[in-house]
Amino acid sequence: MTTGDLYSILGLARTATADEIKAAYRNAARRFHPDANTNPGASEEFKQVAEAYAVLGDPTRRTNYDATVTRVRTGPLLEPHFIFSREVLPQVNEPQVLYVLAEVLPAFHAELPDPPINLCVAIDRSTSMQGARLDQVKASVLNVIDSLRENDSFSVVAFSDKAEVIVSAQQGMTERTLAKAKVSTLHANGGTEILQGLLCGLTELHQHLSPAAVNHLILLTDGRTYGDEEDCLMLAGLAATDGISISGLGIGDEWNDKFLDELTGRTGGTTTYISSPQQVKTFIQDRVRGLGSAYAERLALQITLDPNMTLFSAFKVGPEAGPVPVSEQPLRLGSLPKRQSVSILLKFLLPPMTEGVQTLARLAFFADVVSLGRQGERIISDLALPVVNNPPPATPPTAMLDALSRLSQYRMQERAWQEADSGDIVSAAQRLQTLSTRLLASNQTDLAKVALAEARRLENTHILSEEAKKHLKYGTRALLLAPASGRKS
Amino acid sequence: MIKCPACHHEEYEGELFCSECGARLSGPWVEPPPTATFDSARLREISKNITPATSTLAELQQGQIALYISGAAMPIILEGHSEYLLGREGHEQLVPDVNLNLYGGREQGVSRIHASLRVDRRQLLLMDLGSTNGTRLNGTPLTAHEPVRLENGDEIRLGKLTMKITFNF
Repeated sequence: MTTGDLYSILGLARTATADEIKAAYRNAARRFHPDANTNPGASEEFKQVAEAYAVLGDPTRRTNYDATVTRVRTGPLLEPHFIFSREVLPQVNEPQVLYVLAEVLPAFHAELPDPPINLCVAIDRSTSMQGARLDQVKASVLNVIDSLRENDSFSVVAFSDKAEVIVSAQQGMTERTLAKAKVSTLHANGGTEILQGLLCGLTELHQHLSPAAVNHLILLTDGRTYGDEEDCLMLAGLAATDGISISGLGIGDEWNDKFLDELTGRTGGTTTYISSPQQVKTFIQDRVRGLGSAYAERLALQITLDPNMTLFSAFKVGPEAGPVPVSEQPLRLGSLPKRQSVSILLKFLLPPMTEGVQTLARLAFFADVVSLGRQGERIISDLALPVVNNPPPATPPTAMLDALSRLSQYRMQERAWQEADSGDIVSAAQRLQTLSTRLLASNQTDLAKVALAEARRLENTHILSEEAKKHLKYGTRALLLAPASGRKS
Repeated sequence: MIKCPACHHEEYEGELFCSECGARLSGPWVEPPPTATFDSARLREISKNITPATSTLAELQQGQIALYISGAAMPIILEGHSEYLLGREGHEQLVPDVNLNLYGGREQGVSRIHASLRVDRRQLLLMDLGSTNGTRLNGTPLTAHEPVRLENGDEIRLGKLTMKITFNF
């Protein structure tokens, strides 16, 4: 997927010996050869490894290759860490689940310049935004205009059933006053058609699209879009390929959380829920500040599984929390802040295995390290664990237990809504009640109350409250942002 | 597969939390399962704040039994007999004492003759009568025709129909 450094494809340093190169090739070939491994991505991985070996395994070609690469790296720019739910796998004759908390940190800690941002804000101007919502959005955008730097580019589009460019993409913001005046005159009118806003916003971003910048679209909406969801998702996929990420802000209770999660998730972004317009400002400020202080952008994780292994699900748990679709590789993880880590919780299903060391998957993190002007950085890690008959008991790491306990609460509310949607009110209410006791046990009294009240409400009225649903969904999701994953340097 | 100690749901080997009820699963790596940290007094207090209108134990008169069926606004009050048949009205002439047809019993898998409640010397006994979809007491399945003693506030599940029981003896 990238024409990165040949050594990094084999997971080796530039100083590797001929024997090490051969061993790395053999190992990878055994695991990813198309005859032995039918998992998606395996044959692609094999091809890359074979191509790298064709050069590095031949002394003459290796010398030539080394000579063409003028810049010798001081070391990798990304630093991955892994925590496993089990350090030693029991040898059992049935499938077993393994959780891996994968974390990636900036490997370079010196003071780095802030990367330029290429930002577009797409504002829902439908009638329902009238009043406090639109006023808060406008005030926040004016603040953003004031905070822009010389090499940032910025645009604003507004959409209802049609979209309009309010501030066209410009670099350096030479006409701040005019831009602010245009934003101030925005008024609400019409319905919500997100596709129009997305198309218009992405067009603006494309004018200054740069692999050296943080290319981002902030989508602010309070309503549902009808009939154009599929097109929106497709467009998000294309945006991701172009190196643009999208974050969403849903205001109030009417917007479609499932759709916005999926849309932003495809680009490595996340969706935030706010219940009152006063929170708009904080969200936008934090978002813009985050974008401006990125260490790396377009962080992605390519997972190539060993034969018979399955990747079940992925959930990002830092710096923001949200589900990551695993149907398409690579998994997009958004941006890596300078002094934080990006963490993702992976769930694997492993087949029955024989004793010995078992390789599970090859994980490759990719990113454009924008703060250093380096593109296509890649670091690979092979996950391998010993399989032992009757291993001694061991307690899973606390960070893992915390993350999984919170994820199980998030999953419970998710299932409750599914049950309620399919008409099984009794099960849904019961699950919410159980969730309430779990939340209470982990000292989340407020969320526990919401869950219990919603259980009662469901029992009595058989109707879901959208407000409680969003409150619980984004509330339990926020719990996943455990301080354990926020390693700071 | 491993079984959840709380709700008996089956999970893959290596799973750490039950996907059904969120309980921490015991495994070879865990000493006895952790004692429940759920503080029932606190939960009761919260639920009191939310639904102040439902009748409480104090309002039941001596000898009365109340069944709070999930989804129903009002409890069913039973009194005056020493045994009650729980089930649903079928084609036969037999009408159970507590006819759960009125609460979606058929859809929820309640048998015509499902279970019985018997008052025995200040105790209340629940017995499954060989129902098709079984009876659970606080999540634990009952063996047919073996009476078990009920406590105030127990949760009974007939098929998929859930109810809470309180009584004043």
